[in-house]
Amino acid sequence: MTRYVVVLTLLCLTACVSFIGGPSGISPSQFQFQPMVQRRGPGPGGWKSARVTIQLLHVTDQGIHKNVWCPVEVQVPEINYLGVITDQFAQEEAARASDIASERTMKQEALLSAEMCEHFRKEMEREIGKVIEGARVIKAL
Amino acid sequence: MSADLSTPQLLELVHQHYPANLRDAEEGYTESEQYQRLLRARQGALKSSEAWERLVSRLTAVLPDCRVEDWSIIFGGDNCWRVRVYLPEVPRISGGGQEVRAVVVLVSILAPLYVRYSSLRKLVDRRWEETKLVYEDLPETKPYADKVEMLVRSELSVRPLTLDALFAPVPDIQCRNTALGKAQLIDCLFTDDRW
Repeated sequence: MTRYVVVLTLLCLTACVSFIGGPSGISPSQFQFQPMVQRRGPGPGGWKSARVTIQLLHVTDQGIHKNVWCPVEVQVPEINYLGVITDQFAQEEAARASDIASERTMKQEALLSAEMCEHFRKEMEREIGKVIEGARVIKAL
Repeated sequence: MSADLSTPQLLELVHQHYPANLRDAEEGYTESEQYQRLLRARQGALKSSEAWERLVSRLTAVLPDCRVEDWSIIFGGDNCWRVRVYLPEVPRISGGGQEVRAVVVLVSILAPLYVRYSSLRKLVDRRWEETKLVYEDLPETKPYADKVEMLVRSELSVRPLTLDALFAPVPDIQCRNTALGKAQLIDCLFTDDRW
């Protein structure tokens, strides 16, 4: 039997590290958005970001088949075409997109670890972008 | 830098800013001379944004019925300035929803080049269901695209790239979220995050 487990490791801006998540998915509260670029003038603008490390685990009866860590940064505009993006909305959508991206990524059997992270970021960016126009998911440095 | 860069020269330029055959997750990527050069290019661009800001102001003044939005995300890993000019007409589409149309211009920070495309996005219940990008002229957006392009050319010393050059493959480079083997010049000289 194969199980896919997605674990979220929250990398705080300080030194703390905590492990959250599991088969039920990632909690929105783990995406702690911080101001990134201030909004200037009227119209859209301003950015906030949340940095997390996603751990993708592929568990089989024989044990852990794959264990991949993907540090990602989710960047969300403060305001876009549809209006203000609240922190709560950004968190909910980031968690939703992350769960979908994780599931899709874990179904890719033949990927190397680095490729899995690339695939995850791309899928998460695609998903979150359907609801938050302009949102991005990049590798956290 | 010469405005008449050939495709091989542009490929070489990209290789000067991205390490070949190395993923961004791999050891040595961030320390590579190419990546450090790319960071310096982005920092330099951010320090000299006056011409770009002037262009966005001009577009806003010249197209008062449009929403002009500066979506430049150089701080977030793009290699271009970006403006989206939303057309005032938002037609309803069959099956529900609306089609949001915009003319988008990307201006590279690595070479004096720009790309202009039309973005047609289907919006249903506050959800973006479908995106179509058209790099050729489109009757629906052409009147606005022409005005935007004219201003871009008059305010900035940039020229467009041919479609062949834009989509020339760069197989040994990873550009942001575009994996090794899949990148094209447009992804690396501008951004792979186009919508």
